[in-house]
Formats: sequence, C-alpha cells, structure tokens
Amino acid sequence: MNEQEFGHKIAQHLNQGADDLPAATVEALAQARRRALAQPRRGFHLNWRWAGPALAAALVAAIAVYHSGDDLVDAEHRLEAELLHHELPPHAFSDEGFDQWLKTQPKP
Amino acid sequence: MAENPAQAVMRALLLTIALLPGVSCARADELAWIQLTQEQRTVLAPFERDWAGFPTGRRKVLADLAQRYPAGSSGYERIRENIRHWVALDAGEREQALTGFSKFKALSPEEQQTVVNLWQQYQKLPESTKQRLREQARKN
Repeated sequence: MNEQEFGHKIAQHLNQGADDLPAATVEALAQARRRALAQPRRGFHLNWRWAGPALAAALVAAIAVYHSGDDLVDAEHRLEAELLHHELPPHAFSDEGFDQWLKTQPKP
Repeated sequence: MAENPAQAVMRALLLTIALLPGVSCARADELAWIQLTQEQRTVLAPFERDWAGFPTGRRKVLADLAQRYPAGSSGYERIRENIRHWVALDAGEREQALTGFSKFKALSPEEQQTVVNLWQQYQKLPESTKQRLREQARKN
C-alpha cells in the first residue's frame, strides 16, 4: 500500500466515523462551526477607538527621541562659540602645563 | 474603499517616520559655506575645509558668532586669532579645552580674573619651564 492509498483509507475511516456520530453531536459541531465563521478573523486586531491617540503618542515619542540629542549638542556648540570669543585663547584651557602651574600658585 | 480616521493617522505616522531622515538631510544643507556673507567667511575662514561636515546647529552658532564680529569691531582680531588656535588643536585637546572652559565658567568673577592674570604671567615663563610643567602634569 503506497502513501496515497494509506491516506485515502484513513479519510474513508474518518468519514465513516463522522456518519456514525449521534445527531446531537453533529448539530453541536455544526453550531460551533457557524459561530466560528461568524466571528471576525483572528490575528492582528486593533481597537480603532484607541488607535488615533496611541499613534499620536507614538509619533510624539518618535519625534522626541529623534530630537532628544539636539539640546545637548546645541549646548556644546554654544560653549564652543563662547570659548571662541573669550579673552583667553582656547589653548589656555587645554594647556596641561598652565593647569599644573595654577595649582602651585597661592590662592588669592 | 473609504479610509477611516485611524487608518489616516496610521498613514500620516508612517509617512512622517519615512520622511524624518529626509528632513534631517535637508536641514544639513542649510547655511552652506557659499551661503555665508563675505564677512562671516572671513572670520570663519579656518573652518572652511571642514564646514560641509558640520551639523546645522554648529554652523548656525558659528555663523551667528561671526555675524557679531564684523571687520573693525572690537574683538574681531581676537576671535579670528582664537579660531586659528582652535583649529590647530587636535580633537583630544579641544575636548580638554571645552572641559577646562566649563570649569572656568563655574568660578567666581574674581577667580576668573585671577586665572586671566595668571595666564599672562604663564606666557612669560620660558618654554623649558612650561614643558617641565606639562611633563609633571602627565605624571600626576
């Protein structure tokens, strides 16, 4: 018996079993099938009442995250600009020798 | 088929997210070197080579700064000199300078003035002494 014949025999057996089911069981199964078919399809189900606010919140959050680094970066650029027009030259603040020398000076 | 409001919001959201990087690129093209005034370009000349790679925020701050110091104004020469020094520093030194400057800003005005005066004195020290101080600082 090949695979196809074997499958056919099983299907026959199941059909025969179904024919032998009590009428009440058949009716209960039919009702269950009708109820299942009447349900909306399962899967991704969005509650549209909340979809608008939820998506708006997601949009705000996405934009906030996108721009969250801007303030910090802008502050650094402003600091750079402030340094560039200070009366001390920029290298005064990066000169380790000057920093070391300051430590040896008496406090005013 | 008519689109319900939620679908419209979803469409707007997806469109916005899709366009965000594009908007960002458009912003990056603002204040191109060629768009600066001649006076701004003169003050910012040492930045010209790297200007195209600067983010818009930095371009804007620097362009505003240059705008405030037209040729002949007090501070014009100082800012040009500072920018020349700034560009000559490497990335680590700039980072160090910004950190040092932040600390300096936290000092009282009197303390800041003392540091300014001491810088003038430090400038008069022989280069060998400054070098020795730098070596000492690195050891600490």
